Amino acid sequence: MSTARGIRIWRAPLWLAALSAVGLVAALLSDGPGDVLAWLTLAAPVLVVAWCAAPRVQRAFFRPDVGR
Amino acid sequence: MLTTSTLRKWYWVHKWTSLVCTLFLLLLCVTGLPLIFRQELDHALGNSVDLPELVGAPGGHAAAPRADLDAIVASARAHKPGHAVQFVSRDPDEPDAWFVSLGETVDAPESSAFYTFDGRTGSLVNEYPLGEGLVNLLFRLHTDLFAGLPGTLFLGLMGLLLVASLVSGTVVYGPFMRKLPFGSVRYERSARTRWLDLHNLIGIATLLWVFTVGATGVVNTLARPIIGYWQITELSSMVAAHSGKPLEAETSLERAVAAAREAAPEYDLSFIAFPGNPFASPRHYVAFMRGSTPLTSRLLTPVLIDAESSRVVDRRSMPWYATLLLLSQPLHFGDYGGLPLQILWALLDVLAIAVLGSGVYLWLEKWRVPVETRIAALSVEAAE
Repeated sequence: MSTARGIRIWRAPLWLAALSAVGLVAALLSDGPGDVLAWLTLAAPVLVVAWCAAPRVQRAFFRPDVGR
Repeated sequence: MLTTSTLRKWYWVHKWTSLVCTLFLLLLCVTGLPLIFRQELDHALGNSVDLPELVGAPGGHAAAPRADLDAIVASARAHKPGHAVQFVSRDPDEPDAWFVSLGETVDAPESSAFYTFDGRTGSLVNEYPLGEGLVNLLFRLHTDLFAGLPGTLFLGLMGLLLVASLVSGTVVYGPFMRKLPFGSVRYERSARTRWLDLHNLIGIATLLWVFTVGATGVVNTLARPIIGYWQITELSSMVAAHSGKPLEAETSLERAVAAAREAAPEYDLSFIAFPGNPFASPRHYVAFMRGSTPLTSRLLTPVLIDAESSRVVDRRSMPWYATLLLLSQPLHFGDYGGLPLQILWALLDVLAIAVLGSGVYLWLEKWRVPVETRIAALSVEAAE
């Protein structure tokens, strides 16, 4: 696997993992600001899945050539 | 770079670790979903109640009267004659409540009653219905399958398989995505392709959360062995240095708690084990104190109190493996960031169910190849 392709494949998963990790730890270390940070960062995987799983989004952003 | 044969091996690991644990993981995810809201559920079902508003007590609970703890203990005993008080515990979210657990004997492994007392008036507010109802059913299915420690350890083993399935699944994710941008779901293709894409997308997006909840769940299944080991090593050595004649005089919880608070003023009481309980000694109370920061409030410091003299005789910190267990609890329960975190926990749990379900579907689809195709494949092989 070429480096460029490796970066392309793993960039988004690594971002999501890093955001999740920050969220899981933040609420443990601090009440208030830490909790809010956890809500924002742990919402990322949920929102990304919800966005990508929408057929409309897939048609518009992922395969504009399909179905036209 | 993965060779085809290495990839095939990783795929084999992913398929079989997943297949073995999926049914149990589905059970854990489905029962775990309502358990995220266990406190709310207990309140809604009337299993537990809020303390009443005190009439004529202005100035908040700093000015509120405080009941004598020995009177609370006596009242608990009177409500369950012949049974012994094992623990008295506190909840940082309910600073005026005192919880008293009793057992048939002081060292019985099972609780026989769990009372909530109002710390301002000393009156009994609630008895939690132990061992019955919906919450208990969900909890037992989630933690031991009604099979005690072997059931718990079996679920821990399923959790280990989940971890292996996540690692192998991540390894095979890369090659699958070589020609696809992140997040692709090929809706225009067959149902199988669509669900494969969704399985990959949801699986990789929730990976770290599922890994964390899975791994901390495994640690939680080891709670009893971990606590048992702490009791026969750390607690025994703490007690051995202060052993003495059996208790003769009446003990006082009020004085014991006061002594623990004086010895550890920067801490708050989490729970206190009564003399004779496996968490204490025949002649000592052990007060488990929690810290005051968000992180240290999850950790415990045991304080040994001579029950006769009400003097603190020792205080230690917990060893690393007990700390690991204590930190695994919030990371598994999701109870440490308010209601929004609980809701996110629930949403991520639903996504984990989708990954499990799509995984089973993808495996079943493989067997749905039409019989004609298989026969045709056989005759081709025979002709060769």
